[in-house]
Amino acid sequence: MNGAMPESLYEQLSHQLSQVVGFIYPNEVETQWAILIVVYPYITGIVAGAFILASLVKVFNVVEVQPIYRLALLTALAFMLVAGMPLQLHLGHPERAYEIFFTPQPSSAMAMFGFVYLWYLLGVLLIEIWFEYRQQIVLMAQKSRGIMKAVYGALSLYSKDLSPAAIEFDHKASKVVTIIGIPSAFLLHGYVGFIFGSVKANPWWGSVLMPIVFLMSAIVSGIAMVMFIYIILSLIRNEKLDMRCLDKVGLFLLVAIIVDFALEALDYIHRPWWSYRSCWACSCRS
Amino acid sequence: MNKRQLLKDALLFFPAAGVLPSLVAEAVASVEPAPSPVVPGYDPKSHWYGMGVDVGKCIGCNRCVEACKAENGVPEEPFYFRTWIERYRIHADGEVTVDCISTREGQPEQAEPEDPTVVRTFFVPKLCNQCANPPCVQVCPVGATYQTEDGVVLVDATRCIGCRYCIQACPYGARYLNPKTRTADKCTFCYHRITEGLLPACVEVCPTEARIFGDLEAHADRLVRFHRVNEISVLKPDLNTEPKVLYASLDGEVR
Repeated sequence: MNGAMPESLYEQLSHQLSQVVGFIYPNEVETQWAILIVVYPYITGIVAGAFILASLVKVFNVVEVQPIYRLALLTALAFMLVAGMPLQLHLGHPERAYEIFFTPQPSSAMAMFGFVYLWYLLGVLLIEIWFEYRQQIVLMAQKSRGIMKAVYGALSLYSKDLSPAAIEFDHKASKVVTIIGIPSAFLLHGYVGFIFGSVKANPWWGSVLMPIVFLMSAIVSGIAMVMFIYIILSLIRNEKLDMRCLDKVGLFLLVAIIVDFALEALDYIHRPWWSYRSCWACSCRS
Repeated sequence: MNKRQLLKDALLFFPAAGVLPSLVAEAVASVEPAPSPVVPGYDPKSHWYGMGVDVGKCIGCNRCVEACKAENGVPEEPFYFRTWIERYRIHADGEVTVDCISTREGQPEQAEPEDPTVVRTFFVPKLCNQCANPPCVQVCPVGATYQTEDGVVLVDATRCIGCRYCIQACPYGARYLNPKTRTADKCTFCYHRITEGLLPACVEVCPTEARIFGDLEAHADRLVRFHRVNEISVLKPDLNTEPKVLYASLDGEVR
């Protein structure tokens, strides 16, 4: 009966058991949600944060940020496409992952999140990027030949119209999508917070602040990631950094960090006031 | 996670993309409810199972734990339990120490030296509380864990995707990820036995009758009587999970 258990897992759990101080339930020696579940919210946070940064340009007309508008959108898309991978690798049965979409359980925050994620990817991000790049794609389709012409043609969804009215429509459409996109980005990452915050078995997670803390952390990591990529890319392309843009973005980053820090601090101040017995759910008495 | 594990997981992950053609057939099939693991002639609607545990009677012999592991094929390593025994020791200064006596591997070589500061000690058998309002069922994204009509929470191992949300959501630590099936696993009240009129393995072997199994909705039943004559408490009642494992003479220290 023992043969099926990997030796490495046994050693790992034995080591963890030796580290336990106080008392925890015997089944809880194994850390169920480990590093992969830490990486995942970080990546989704970057998606939401980068999109919110991009929306500053479109919706709030912060002209200074214009130079990194497209970079922010593409950062969001790039991380969105890989965000699911840590989740997938973490599953006991990755080959059954599609069941979340095919037989979802409505009361499960995790199942409903699948649809929030899909909505954000297909209903917001891809549409916004398509309208933003349509003009370029049509031009590329006209210039190139052979297979690439077919590829660009398909990417442009066979639209060819480059009249001023059509371009104007692109701008309007992407603005509308951004306006829908802001609450969607908030929903995307706030919901990640809710998945954790709704677990009442774990008082360290079970907090109404959780979605907002997640959201502010998302904005912090998203803005910082776009800034970082912008600086690295400028170095690689040997371009001069637009300091006016960086200053403005840095200002938003600072504000976001202050709000995020304040929320975290509130949480930490609140807990000793309530003075839960330190690890009340798992009966740990340390 | 080490490299080997990552590669192994990747091997599982990439073929997963190839399942698309079978999705439609699977989706049609999965609309039907899971096949009921029930013997013919058994009516689940006419039962509502629960268990009584008399803390004062438990002597901490661990036979229930061994019987459970043998009956249900629970991995023998001390990280996987469908039921386990906790030992509480109350010291003269009011301090409480808890340990799980089921995690010890093998028999102790010699008796533990007596600790003069301990004024009282008792054992608490733990298992899935088979909550009437189970948080694990609420969070399962694919409906693989479900409550039967007779009030037992089960896991469909052919449906479970191994996301472990239910393990996180259980306030009683009653679930684990089975390393063999890579799906969530837990106490079933020995569903394969009780639907045939037998007792769960842990109840069957308990030498002091510290565990009582029965039907909470029956007119005359040992568990109903147990409920009536004892002062009953449940674990973590404030979480509104409505446990159906009822404890008699449970100390307030136990959580």
